[in-house]
Amino acid sequence: MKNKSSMIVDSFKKLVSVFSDGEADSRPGGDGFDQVLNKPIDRRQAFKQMAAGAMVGGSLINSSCSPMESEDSSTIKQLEWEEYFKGNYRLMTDVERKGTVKRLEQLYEKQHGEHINVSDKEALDGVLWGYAFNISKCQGYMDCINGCIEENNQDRDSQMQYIRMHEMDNEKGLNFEFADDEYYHSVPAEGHFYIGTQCMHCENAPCVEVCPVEATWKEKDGIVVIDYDWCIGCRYCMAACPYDGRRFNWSKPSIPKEEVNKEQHYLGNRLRSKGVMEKCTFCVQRSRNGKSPGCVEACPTGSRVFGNILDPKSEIRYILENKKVFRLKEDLGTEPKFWYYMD
Amino acid sequence: MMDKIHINFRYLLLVIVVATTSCSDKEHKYHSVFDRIDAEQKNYVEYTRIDEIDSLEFIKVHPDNYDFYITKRTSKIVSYKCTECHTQDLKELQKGVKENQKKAHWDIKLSHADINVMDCTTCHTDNNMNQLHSINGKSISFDKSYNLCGQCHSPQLKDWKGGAHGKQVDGWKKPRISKTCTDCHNPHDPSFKQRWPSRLVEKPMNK
Repeated sequence: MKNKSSMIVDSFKKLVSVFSDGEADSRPGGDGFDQVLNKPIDRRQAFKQMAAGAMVGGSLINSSCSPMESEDSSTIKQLEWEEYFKGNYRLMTDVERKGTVKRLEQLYEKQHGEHINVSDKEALDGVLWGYAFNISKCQGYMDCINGCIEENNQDRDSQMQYIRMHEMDNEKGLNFEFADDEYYHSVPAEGHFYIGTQCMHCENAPCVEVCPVEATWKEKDGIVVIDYDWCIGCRYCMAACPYDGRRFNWSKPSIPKEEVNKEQHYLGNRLRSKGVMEKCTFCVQRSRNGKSPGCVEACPTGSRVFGNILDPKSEIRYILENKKVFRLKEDLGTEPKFWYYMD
Repeated sequence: MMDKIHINFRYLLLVIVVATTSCSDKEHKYHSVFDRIDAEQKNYVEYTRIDEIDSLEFIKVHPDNYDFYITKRTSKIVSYKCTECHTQDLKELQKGVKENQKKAHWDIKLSHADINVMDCTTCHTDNNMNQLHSINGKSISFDKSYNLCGQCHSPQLKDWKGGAHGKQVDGWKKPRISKTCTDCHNPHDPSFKQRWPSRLVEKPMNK
């Protein structure tokens, strides 16, 4: 009972902070309400907020203190509540990150009865990820797309896929105007070649620039990630991306329980909710643990190469230094870290 | 007069401060990704595998100046060593099939180059079935088939050594492990075949 009452006091404080319309204190380390609460306000505003807070708080007490509720559902509510008012992932301290990751695990276990691992592993030092795609070798088999969907817990209903495969006519060359993105026949088709696109993890990512709430950013190892819980779903980034690398959840993603990948990362393949953006993260949950992304693993032709471009002896560096490489829309100056090459 | 000079100095100072600080935005430190690679590769950290590499599955090779592991073939061929069945030389067998004698490997159809260029004994050694051999008769182990294939496919061999052809095994950590030629290509029929895209066959959807 003590727990519950302290929770309500806590919640009240948080609510008050929600109604303050000031600028967030950007001191790194402040969690959710700390980020907005630690700032002076005048008396009139304080009364206004308290009144509003009391209103919402009252209704909360009404709903959460009902004696009919089971122990489990009240813990779920508490966890959801704490999750709802957490801060931006980038501003969280290590303790807060561990806390939210723990809550996500607990929530899933309470709701679905199965344990998942959510990681908050940081970018490795001395690593910059790069990716190369061999357009001479790709046969258009689309194994990469299946691998990606299974790895990254993408919505099965809308058939969301991060990777798109384009069938190109040899005679037209590399011209996306004549690309067939919805081919439906055996591959490779005579006189065609195949090229896959996905998030290119640009060095100067336009999607990051336009985000009004800083819910997407470039990590130290070069990947562009999204804090799904900070995203407001405005889709500015989707419009800004010149490569169509971003996807939006129009409905709540549904994945059959037995197909959920339980090895997750906060910035990667953890389960998303309705109304948020998502995209390829070079499988952050895999790459930061020494593995290659799911698409690279799934490709039967070896057209996909992934590695650390700071490592002079890596395969990807060999490609950059010895093969004919190009990037898409290089003239935009987005500096994608996704190269195409040919034999 | 003195006062005027003093003010000018102030403006100069302001210009200098603005000029030096406005470009120090950490996010846009580099003009291109290659500038970043040049600057940061000094800090490159090598990450090595935690688990020991299984010597039954992988073999260390050193082509040219490279140094990496490839998958072993001999531990995957079901009835290796071949001499456990092949007690006779291939030459003896080729002299003519006796009546009622069972044919070995009847299901293998050679579809690799012209039959005038290649037949079984171009790669398989007739008096030692456990080995392969190069064009001039030097023995090559089944495990190091790249030495055999690379005789004709030299551009592919070069790219494979560097990492532009072929496929990485088990992630990017060091030491590098690569698939070898025969992991992806059937040596008797090496080209990739036309098939239905897997995404359109077994869609991972809600059923």
